[in-house]
Amino acid sequence: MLRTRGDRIAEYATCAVTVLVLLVLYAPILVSAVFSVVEIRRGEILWETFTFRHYVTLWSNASVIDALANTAIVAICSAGIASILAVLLALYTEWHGAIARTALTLLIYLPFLLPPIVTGLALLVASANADMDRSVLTIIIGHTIFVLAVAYRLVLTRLQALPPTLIEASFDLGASRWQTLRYVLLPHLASSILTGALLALTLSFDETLISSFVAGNEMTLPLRLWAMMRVGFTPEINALVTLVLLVSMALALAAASLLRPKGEPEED
Amino acid sequence: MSLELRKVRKVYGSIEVLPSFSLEIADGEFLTLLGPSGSGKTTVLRLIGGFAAADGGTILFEGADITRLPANKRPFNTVFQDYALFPHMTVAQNAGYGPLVQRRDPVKSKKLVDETLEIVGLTEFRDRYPAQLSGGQRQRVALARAMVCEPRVILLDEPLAALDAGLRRQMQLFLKQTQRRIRTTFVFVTHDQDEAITMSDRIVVMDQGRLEQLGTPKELYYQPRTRFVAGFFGDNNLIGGTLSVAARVETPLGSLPVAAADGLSPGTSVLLAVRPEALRLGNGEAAIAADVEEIVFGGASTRLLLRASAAPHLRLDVRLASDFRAQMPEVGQRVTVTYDPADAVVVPA
Amino acid sequence: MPTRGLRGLIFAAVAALPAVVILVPLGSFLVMSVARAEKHRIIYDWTLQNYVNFLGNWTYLSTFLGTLWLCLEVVLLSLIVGYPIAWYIWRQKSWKRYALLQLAALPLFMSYIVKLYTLRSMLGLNGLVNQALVSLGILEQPSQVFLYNQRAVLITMTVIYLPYVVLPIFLSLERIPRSLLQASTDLGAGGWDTFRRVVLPLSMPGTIAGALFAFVLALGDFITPQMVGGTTGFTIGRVIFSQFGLAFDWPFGASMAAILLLVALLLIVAAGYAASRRRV
Repeated sequence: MLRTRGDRIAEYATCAVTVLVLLVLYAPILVSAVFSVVEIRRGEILWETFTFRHYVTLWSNASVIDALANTAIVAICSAGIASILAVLLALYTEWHGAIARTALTLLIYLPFLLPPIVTGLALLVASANADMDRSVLTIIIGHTIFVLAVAYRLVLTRLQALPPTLIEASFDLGASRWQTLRYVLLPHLASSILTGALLALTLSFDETLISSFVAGNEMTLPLRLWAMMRVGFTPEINALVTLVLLVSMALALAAASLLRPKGEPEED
Repeated sequence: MSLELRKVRKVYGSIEVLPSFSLEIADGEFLTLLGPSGSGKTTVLRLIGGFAAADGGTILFEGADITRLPANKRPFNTVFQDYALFPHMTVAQNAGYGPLVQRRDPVKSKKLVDETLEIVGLTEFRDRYPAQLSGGQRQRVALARAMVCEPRVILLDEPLAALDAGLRRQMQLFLKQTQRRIRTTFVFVTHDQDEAITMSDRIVVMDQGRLEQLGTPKELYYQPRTRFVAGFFGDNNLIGGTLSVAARVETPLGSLPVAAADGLSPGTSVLLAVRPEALRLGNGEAAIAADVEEIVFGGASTRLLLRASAAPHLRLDVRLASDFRAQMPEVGQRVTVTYDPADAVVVPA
Repeated sequence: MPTRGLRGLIFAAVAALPAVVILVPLGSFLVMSVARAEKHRIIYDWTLQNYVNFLGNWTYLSTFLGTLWLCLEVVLLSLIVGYPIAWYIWRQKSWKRYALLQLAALPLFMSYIVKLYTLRSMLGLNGLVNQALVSLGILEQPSQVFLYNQRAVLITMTVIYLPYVVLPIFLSLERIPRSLLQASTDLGAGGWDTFRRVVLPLSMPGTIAGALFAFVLALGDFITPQMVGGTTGFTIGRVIFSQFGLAFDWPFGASMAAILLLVALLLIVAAGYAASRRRV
């Protein structure tokens, strides 16, 4: 395409905005990483304080490690449960002809669409009514219904892309329902389930607003960090944050690369 | 000459799509760019339309160099393969888009849109959205939208590819009639030789970025000058051999006569091309013995598939006018076929 | 594989699970909103008193309206910044486009609290923003206007929720066939006309979705205003959260959250309607 001057100006201007905003968006990881290895006073980097020591000592900070462990347990459990539920629900709504399908679908998406404050306090009220003490379990429940929407959406999209003839062909070739599920459906859905699980994992890892209602006396990492915000982060915390950010970005990238459409050549 | 491409070159990445392409298009003609996919025909159209920048050579319109002129400044309009109708605009809004963005007088534009919709027979659909139209109707909207701009040249990029066979024939006729009516130059891209033959004043056959042959449909059909063109139109019978003196070709089937072999010296490897409908049963100056392998009744014509007796790997395709009463040979029978030397041409092998 | 009846039963049980853990809490919180709290005990007597108290109290009501206004500002600012970014990414080709898209999406998965912390230190008296402005000579000395007020909340929320706006806009831009842009140019439109008459209208569904995301997320956020809002950056989210903490008036908090829920649902329905009305 032959480009005009106006096109080029628009391109440069939006490029500038993009670069600037990306810098701001990535400031947290840069700042944490820098503060984890050096001290900064009055805007000046004190190079003589440079050390990786904090990446070692942070592992003996019991309160942080406990919070980290809790967060990991919650993330793994809720991502796992949500993935299984997502597959069953997708099969139910798409293949089995669910009762009240629209309502059920809406219900699944609701916790993701609503302000987290509403979801959080609804769960709080319900657990109080049921005389259920707030614990890791309530956090897992909260996170599961929050991330379920994402996992469900991904599996459903993949399921809808599956030509029905494929299933019919499988039956036609004499496969039982179980064999069809095992050899046709699940392999087809596998990457979407994995993507959903990875996204669920990272979302749960960072979830703060719902947790703040249902955590009770338990601490997750975001809640612990929130509490520490008042006094400021120590280099140790910055080291931890750097690690956490890197891991969650890596997980999200892995999920994204699974989602990436197989490249189609695009003409000029 | 109104539109001229001079030694135009186009490269995509490391692939040279057009090495050096020259073409002159006359005012008011229906010119078709014909070729298989990858032949560069669409690239030529994109270069004319201004959707791709030439990497070399010049494009002239009425003597002026328009090589670097962006698409919105060229007096050409395009009918896209997928129609590219704006889904959020009605038929009338789509048709009126050109005058609108060109800041033309709204009153005159409206009249022009009305007239054009009348020509393409869409007046009653003016307030419909593209999603509410059939394929043929969308096609007409796309044409109307281009016509409203009163372009000097309308570029059509395989516009009939998405239509089914019946509608295709109908639209071929419609396009041809409309072109005659408005007398605008049409540059039409297709890979379908029947379509090209039916509609065009002249056809450019392209292969691998080169111009193979340029001529009227009849010239290309009856007087192919390259092996590619000879093989591209219809089911030509191609027989390999060596040109000898006195307009004869020495083939595995014997020495066969041809009309003329201008420009080719004796001793050259050639292909002799005879159309299936030029072959008939019987003896003559040219006589080929063959065994009937298959007989296919096709309504107006009947097709005989033969295997040459002298060279069994050579197959011949004969098309005879069907005759209910006539006696047809049977499968397995040995027959002799012949042709009028005036109907046989040679091309370099 | 179990028989058809048993399979139906398993599926029904699976479907009932989210219904229970989503529907029951929502129901009990709505019931809570019509109860009242008395000396740390909840008394369910189906009263609308909480709603009356909220609507009749200008302090609460103005905080609520102020929050809506703030969310609107967040939406507008995110669109002004986010649309050009989405557009730029969309204009790129192959690997560059994909890389930029990932760069824009990745911050979604970076710790929310860490973002808050970093932005707070950037906006503070000794922060990067002040240092930059002073060294550029725009400010004579570091200013406190960037932190602990409504503006700080606006800036911080915009930065945090920006990727939620960029992505849907990009996705709807990506759905526009390239041939439509070529057709527009072919018919004589310049870049601006093509943008205004083709690109912008066709990217509306994504723009609406992005705006909706930003609005709803900003509406329910109570940590951002608490951490960077100071005393003037008070939002309804903070008021609600405090009812479940020190104030300990769960029914009153629930009634305010119910109003929040209503606003969110209305917006979701309106946005869904607006998106479905477009013929794309």
